[in-house]
Amino acid sequence: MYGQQEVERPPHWSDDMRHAGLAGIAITFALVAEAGRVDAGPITFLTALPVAKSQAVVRGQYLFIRASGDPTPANQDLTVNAFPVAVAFGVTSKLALFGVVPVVSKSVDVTMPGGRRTLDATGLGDVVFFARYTVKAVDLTESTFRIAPFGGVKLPTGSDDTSGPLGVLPRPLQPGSGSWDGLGGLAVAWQTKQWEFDADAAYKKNTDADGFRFGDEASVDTSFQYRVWPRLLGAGVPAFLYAVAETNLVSQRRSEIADVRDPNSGGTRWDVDLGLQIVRESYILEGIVQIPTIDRPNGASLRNDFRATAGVRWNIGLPF
Amino acid sequence: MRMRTKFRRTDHLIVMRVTRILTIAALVLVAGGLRTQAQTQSTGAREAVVTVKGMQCPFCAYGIKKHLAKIPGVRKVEVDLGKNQAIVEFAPDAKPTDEQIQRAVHDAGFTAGKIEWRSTPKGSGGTGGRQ
Repeated sequence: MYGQQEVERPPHWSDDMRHAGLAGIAITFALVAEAGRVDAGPITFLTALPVAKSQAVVRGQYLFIRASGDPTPANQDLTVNAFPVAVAFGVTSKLALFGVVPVVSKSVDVTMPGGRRTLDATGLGDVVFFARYTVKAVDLTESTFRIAPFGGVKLPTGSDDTSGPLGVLPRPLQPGSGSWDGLGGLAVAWQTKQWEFDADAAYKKNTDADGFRFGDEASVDTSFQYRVWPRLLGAGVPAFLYAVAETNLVSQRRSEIADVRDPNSGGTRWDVDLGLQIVRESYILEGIVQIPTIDRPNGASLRNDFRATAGVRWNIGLPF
Repeated sequence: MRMRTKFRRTDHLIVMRVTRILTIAALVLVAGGLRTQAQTQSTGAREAVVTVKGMQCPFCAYGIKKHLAKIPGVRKVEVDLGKNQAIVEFAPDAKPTDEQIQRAVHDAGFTAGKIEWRSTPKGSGGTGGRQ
């Protein structure tokens, strides 16, 4: 399915730096999926639960990602710090619009003939806009069930020509991809007061920019949240503490450089995540750690060591 | 004779104790009755007890409160998540309808179930309240 041709590398793509594949690319999609999910529910992907009409939910996050396992002498170690801010707005009770603005810092330690060096890039990432529409809602006294497709576009707002000591950094290390990309999927949520189950399936179609095209990404996610406190519900609206277990299956095709597939890019990874979530009426505090259980990068791509996410969400009622 | 006297003294003590207990019980009942009477006196205001279907977590309750609070004449909104209920208190001169409440719950993303109207008990709060 994927081409195995050796890639003719652009002049700025050094021998030691061309393996930043899977980890670097997967970050882009992760920012979209995680930051875009703003109402209560799973931490690492989008939910189908509603955003009220004329209400905004703002989400601020911190993501930390480590990737290593470079089998080449370059022995690359990738570190990513990202601060995506997402805003969701309820146009109607069924239609919600989302915007995600990330600030990204990527750093890779690499062994070169002159010794170990660090190459990094920091800046505004690619802005994402998408819409979600609830096509099915079954509201009962003790549960709610939702189905909501979503779709949107990623704009090339992030820098894709940041330079390092060896010239322009390879595209996976840039804060932005440089391309206009489309994304879409389907989210399902089933929530009771004691537990919640969410799942989604999404696809991101990446396009070419300056001769480089990231491989398309497909993902399937599931989440189970269980209320561990309070054990019994009293009067009013008590705060909830959820224990959260999630899984993320992400598969990405090989990237293309000048229409030639890069054998050291793309792959499949399955993360198992454990986290906690405190839910109150006006805000949510949450944290989760994602551990790759299955990680099969193509060629010499880096492997994710782990990802950690901490975040807060605010409910904001608008006056109109 | 001696035994009869002793019996009478014991009997007297029992009667005294029973009298005390009955007096205390009567006072408690009277106080409770007065309190109940005060509570059931209407303020003239009305409140709607709305069953909100689909509301399952605290984050959802926020939007429901906000939208119900936008109905003209609302003085106070409270949510009981465990009972899936929103209690909406209106000013005496307000003219709320079921449709307004159903629309507000719908705009919050949920479904209104049974709406029960009742007079607002006196001394139950009335003004302000968290929204």
